[in-house]
Amino acid sequence: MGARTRWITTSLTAAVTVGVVVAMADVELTDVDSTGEAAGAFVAAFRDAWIAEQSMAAPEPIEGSVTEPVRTPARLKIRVSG
Amino acid sequence: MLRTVERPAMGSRAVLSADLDVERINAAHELIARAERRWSRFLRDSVVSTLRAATTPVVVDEATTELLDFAAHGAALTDHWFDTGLSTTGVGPNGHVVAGSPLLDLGGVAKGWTADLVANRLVADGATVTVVDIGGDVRVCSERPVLVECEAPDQRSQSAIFAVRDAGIAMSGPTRQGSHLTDPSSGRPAQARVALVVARRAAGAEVLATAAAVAPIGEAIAFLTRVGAAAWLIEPDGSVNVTGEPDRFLAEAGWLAEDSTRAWREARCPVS
Repeated sequence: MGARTRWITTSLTAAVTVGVVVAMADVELTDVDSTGEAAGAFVAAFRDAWIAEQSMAAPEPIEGSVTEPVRTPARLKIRVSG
Repeated sequence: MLRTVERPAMGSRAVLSADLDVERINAAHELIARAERRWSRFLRDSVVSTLRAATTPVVVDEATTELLDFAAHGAALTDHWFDTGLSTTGVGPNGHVVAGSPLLDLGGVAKGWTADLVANRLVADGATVTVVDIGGDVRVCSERPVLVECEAPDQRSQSAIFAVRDAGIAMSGPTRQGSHLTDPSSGRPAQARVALVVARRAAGAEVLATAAAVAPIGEAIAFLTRVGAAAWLIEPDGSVNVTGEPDRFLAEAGWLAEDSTRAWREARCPVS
C-alpha cells in the first residue's frame, strides 16, 4: 500500500472513530457535543494519527562511517521489557 | 561534557545523559516524576488510577489526552495488537472525556512517551547530545552519532551496539524470568517473541515492540512494514525475521549476530 493510500486510510479511520466517539458521548453525556467540537476533534485526531505513524517509521541512518561518536555510560542501555 | 544522572522512576530506572549542567538534568528528572504521578497505575491518586476506578466518564488533562490519543492511534496502526485497555473517548467543553477504563495500563507507552518529552526538554535547554533511558526505552537526540548498548535478553551474551543520531529504540518480549505480556485477542499470557524496534520516537518504538512481540508473525511483519519501522523479530526457536533493514543502525552486531542469537536461544531453551 502506498504512503498516500495509507494516509487516506488513516484519516478515514480517524473520521469514523471520531464520529462514533461523538455519537457515544452524546448518549452518555449531555454536555459534550456540538458541530464545532466534532470538527475540532476530527482535525486533532487526523493530525495525531499522522504523528503516531511518523513516530514509528525508521529514522535516517548515519551515512558513511561513524566518526567521533559519543559513547553513553554502560548503565544506560536498551533492555528487554516483559 | 556529557553528564549522566540516574534515578529510580516509573517502576524502573531513568538514566539521563546530556551535555548540560546537572541542575538542568535534574529538572528533566522532575518531568519524569510528574509523569509517573500522573500515569502510574500503582499510585492511588494518579489519573490512570482515577480512570480505572471511574464508573462514569471523566475529564482528563491535556497531557494525558495527548498520550491517550497517541495510544489509541498506536492501537489502530498495529491492528490492535497494542492495547492499553482504554475505553471510549470524546471531547467536551472542559476538555477530553474518557469513559471509565478498569483495565487501563499505560505502563510501557508512558515510559516511551516520557522519554520523548524529556529528550525534547533537554534539547530545548540547549543540549547537543541527549540520551534518555527509561526502563530500557531509549531516545537519542544528538548532533553527533551516539553509540548505545543493547543488552542481550539472556543478559550474558555480548551486547549489540547501535549508532544513531535521532531515534527511539525499544525491545519487548520474554525475559529470563519468563513473559509477562498478554495476548490482547484472548486476554491470556502471550507466547511472546523478542521484538526489537528502531523508530523515530521512543513511544513509537515501544508501541510497535509491544505489539510485535505478541502478534502472529505475519501480522507483525505487516504492520511493521506498513509504518516503515526497522525491527528484528526473534522467535523462541532462534529464527529471525526483520523489517526495514535494521542492520543499518548497528555499529556492532553482538548478540544480534547469528551465532549470538543461537547462544541466546540455547541459554533460554536448553536442549532436553
